[in-house]
Amino acid sequence: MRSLHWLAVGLPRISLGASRKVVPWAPSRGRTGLGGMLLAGCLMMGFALLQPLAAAEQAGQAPPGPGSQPPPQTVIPDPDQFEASAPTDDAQLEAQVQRLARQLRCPTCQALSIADSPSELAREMEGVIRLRLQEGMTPEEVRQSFVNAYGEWVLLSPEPAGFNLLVYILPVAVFLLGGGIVVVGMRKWLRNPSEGPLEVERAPPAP
Amino acid sequence: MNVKRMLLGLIITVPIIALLVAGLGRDPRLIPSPLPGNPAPDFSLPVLETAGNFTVQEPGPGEVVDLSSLRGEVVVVNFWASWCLSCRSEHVPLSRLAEHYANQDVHFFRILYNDRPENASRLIQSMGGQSYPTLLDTRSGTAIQYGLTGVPETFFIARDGTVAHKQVGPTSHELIMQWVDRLLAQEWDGEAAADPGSPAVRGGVTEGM
Repeated sequence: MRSLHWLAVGLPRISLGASRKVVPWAPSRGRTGLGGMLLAGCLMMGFALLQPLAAAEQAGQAPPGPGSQPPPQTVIPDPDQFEASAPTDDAQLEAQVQRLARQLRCPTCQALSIADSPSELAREMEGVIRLRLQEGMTPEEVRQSFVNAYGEWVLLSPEPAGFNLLVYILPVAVFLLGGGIVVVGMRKWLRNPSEGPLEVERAPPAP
Repeated sequence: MNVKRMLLGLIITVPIIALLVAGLGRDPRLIPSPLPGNPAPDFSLPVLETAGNFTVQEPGPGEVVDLSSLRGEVVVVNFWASWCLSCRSEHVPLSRLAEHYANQDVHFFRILYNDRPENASRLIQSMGGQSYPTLLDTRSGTAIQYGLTGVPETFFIARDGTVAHKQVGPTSHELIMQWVDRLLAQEWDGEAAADPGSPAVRGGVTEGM
């Protein structure tokens, strides 16, 4: 636990100055109290926001201009027309198809993979994966062919490089930081329980 | 107020507000395309039969159109479906412009996406025919190669076979003319860079230049 102590460096001064007497859960001496929890909360929120942003950034997504129109229609009303390559009896091939389909994002869905999406386009994309594997392409080549057409956006897990690294590093960093704050706060509070939150509720000394 | 506390508060809140502003300003439905600036995927697709009278183009019903054979010429490819209302609004400008550019190095094609050929034929006939061919992409292989996310989407392909521009959503007479004229005049330098002077913002969502 002591190894996490460095995480709390600098935190002792971030108390918002609220009276401990009205914040019963604030640890003694108010050092890693409300401010620390606020910081942890803000970092958590920042991470939650960063995750979709990182995915958008890795695809080079730009905000829509003032003249932007609604996106094109994506309703496919005629399921009978679907002619995509059907699943085969080849278990190894189908396993490869499913593995790739789980990595690729369905363009007409909200954060669903091709494997999970019931949309026609997703079924067609799955059929294209199957066809390309049957034609002799390697799984990596098939994956790259979708990236070439749709951009990195089509990958559900962004490549761990550049700005995308934040998505992988931030969760660990925030977890360690938040854990460190909690541990340090608890240790201080346990070390001096007499100065803890109960202090504010103690009866005044008898005259 | 303590200056250090103020600074710390700013350090925490400013990035969060910046993230909110950046994140909420994006359209999550807008999918960027890597195609503009890159070679157009080749296709070899049959022409829809009974798709009206092709007054301006060679390939007849049942023949196959091979994109790679059209290098050196400008190609406009429009993905559509008969069930797509926005696509119907593009029918007249595309058909008229195909006639307008009939004697120049421009080819117009529509590729049918996820639709029955007979439905497409019926609609084309009901709208008075089409001056250029519709191609069949029965397994959507070409649509997926072009990163299609819906219809209509229009691709403007330069003489060197590079995708110059992708138009997501309905296009317009003016936008088509500006891009085709520009590509015919070889004013496009092959870079998918932002170009404030481009006609990009006229129609739907733009990508590429």
